[in-house]
Amino acid sequence: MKKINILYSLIIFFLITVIINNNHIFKKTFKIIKKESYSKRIENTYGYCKGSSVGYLRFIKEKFKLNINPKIINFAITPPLDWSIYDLNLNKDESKIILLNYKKDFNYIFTKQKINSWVFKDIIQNTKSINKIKFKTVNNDDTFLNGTLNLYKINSNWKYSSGKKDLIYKKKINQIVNSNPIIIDFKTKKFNSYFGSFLIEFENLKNNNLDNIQSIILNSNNYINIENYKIINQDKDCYYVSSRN
Amino acid sequence: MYLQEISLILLQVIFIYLFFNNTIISSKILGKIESIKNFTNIDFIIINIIIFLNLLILISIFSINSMYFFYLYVLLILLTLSKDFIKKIKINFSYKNIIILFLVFILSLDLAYTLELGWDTQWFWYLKALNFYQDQNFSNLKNLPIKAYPHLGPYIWGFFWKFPFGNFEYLGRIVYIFFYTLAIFSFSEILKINNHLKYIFSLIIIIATYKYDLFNGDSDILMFIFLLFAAKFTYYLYQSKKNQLLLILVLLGIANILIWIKYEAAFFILFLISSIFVCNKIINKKNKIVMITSFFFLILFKVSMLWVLDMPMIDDKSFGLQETMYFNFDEFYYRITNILFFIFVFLVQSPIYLLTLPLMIISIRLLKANPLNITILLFTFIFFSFTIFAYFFKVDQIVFQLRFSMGEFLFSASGIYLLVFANFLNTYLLKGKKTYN
Repeated sequence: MKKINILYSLIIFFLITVIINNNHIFKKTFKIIKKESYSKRIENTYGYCKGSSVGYLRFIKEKFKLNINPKIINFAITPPLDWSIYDLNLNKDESKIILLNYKKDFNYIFTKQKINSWVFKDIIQNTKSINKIKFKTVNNDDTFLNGTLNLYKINSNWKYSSGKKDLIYKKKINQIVNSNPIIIDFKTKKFNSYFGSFLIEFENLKNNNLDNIQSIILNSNNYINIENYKIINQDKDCYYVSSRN
Repeated sequence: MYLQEISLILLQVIFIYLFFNNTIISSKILGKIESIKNFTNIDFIIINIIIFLNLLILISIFSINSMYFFYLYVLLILLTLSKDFIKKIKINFSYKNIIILFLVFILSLDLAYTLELGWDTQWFWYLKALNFYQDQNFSNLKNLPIKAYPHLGPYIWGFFWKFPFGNFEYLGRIVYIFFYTLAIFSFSEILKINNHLKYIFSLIIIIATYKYDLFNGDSDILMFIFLLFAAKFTYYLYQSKKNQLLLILVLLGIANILIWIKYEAAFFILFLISSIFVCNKIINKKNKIVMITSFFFLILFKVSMLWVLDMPMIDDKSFGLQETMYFNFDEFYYRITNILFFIFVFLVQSPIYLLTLPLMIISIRLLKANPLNITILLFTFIFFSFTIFAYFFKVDQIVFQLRFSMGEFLFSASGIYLLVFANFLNTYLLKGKKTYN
């Protein structure tokens, strides 16, 4: 009986060791004790000025001893980040803005799916216009195109080939296309999607040079122009700004 | 260098254990209830948890300052202890409790290191917890995202974040780990095997189910935990002819907690209670009626409280109710095949379902008219019908929804399926061994 109990105890010990080992508990404990403070771990998890950029948000909160809740806009795809510095006892101040992963403009690369379809399947947020169209051709060759470019929004990310198509932009093209951009400056809020995808197709083609087009890049200017704001703090692509008025 | 943080985690674990290990009800009162004599030490801890959380529901909706409640509750525990004499203080450091505390501690270290909150947690759960941590009242939830989502999960988190140390947010989430470990060890107590084997069973379940993501602040894990508690007391209901009313009360206490944790949790416990109502021949009619009417009273209580406090019942934006109304039946085949595909995928990925569903099919043949087995079969039928129905009428991003929520949805109900294993083991494999009652 005693031997069986020892055997059971050994099995229990082994299973606990498995739990510790599977979850790297020793390594994590050592890091907590010796190397990484709570703030450092938060930064490792969420990034300083990358991805969620919670490290930068906490830095701003501490450095400027914020007595308001600033507006937070992250141009990377993350959940809302209010949680990281929000204080429910303070008021919101929309004139103070923290911009994370800010870029002046964004490129959305549509990859080729079929001979006459290019798809963008990722999330697009915060765009208010489509400003330029660029074409990536085989060997960067010039390619003459004569037809109409149609940009559709598809209601599903997973059914881009058969989902419901909603035409959001149409442009007649009759020119040589290459990496030089075609300026369009088309204002639209429809070029935003969380669950959906976007599709480009040509119609009424007078020639057949589509084989040459590897990808199509739509470029959107950031709807926030940093020059309209007073920069209080900047670190790489992260800014703490206030409106000028 | 940061040894202080480890000490804080250890103290939080010990505090939570002591907090729930002692009751606010005098042992004189408890001693008068006959059936309680059959309860294990962990059963008492669960009952303390149920009492505390039901009080917490009232404290939160009536916006009573949590600090007053905390000190009053601790005072009541101390008073009860002093009445029952110091010698009866239950700091029961048995072999089992040491294993539980040690596991809670090491899993808390994982929590403290990883820190990552889930998408929904960052979006709205955290802010709800913060609402209570920063002493904002219940109606302030209206100013936060997804205002109609049930608040009890984050309130528990906010409460233990604030008390006793009021420091790192993850200290509040340690209570989820405590409940989780306790629920698994508690369930193993109904197996008619020796204690060592029960511990081994519990550890295997933890190895099979534990992952950090369960504790990323989402309330899904609480559904798993409280349904596992419910599973244990359901088992008791099928074993004991005496004092069923007490067991029904415990089950209703758990049901009330689930109703305030998540919408789907209210459905899951309704399915379980309905299945018990139909299949349990041991409970007399009067008690059955008490059970089902009390449950609907609890639902009515929640609805009327939200109505009185002018709180929204359903967040129609996040549920896409309008889109659901315009559902296109042309998608029937597309939807049904995807739902069945993802159900299959997530069932195969879940060790609990992988073990218990085949066992349930075997049990149909071997256990035949076993009432508990029939109850679980009925629950399974209702549960999977509900799952298919609920996803069928989700708004148009069905594959996205299935891919990212079906796993958690199925996991949260999987605790109940451990009953299949327990029933099979106790009824078929270990016939005639001593049981509860």
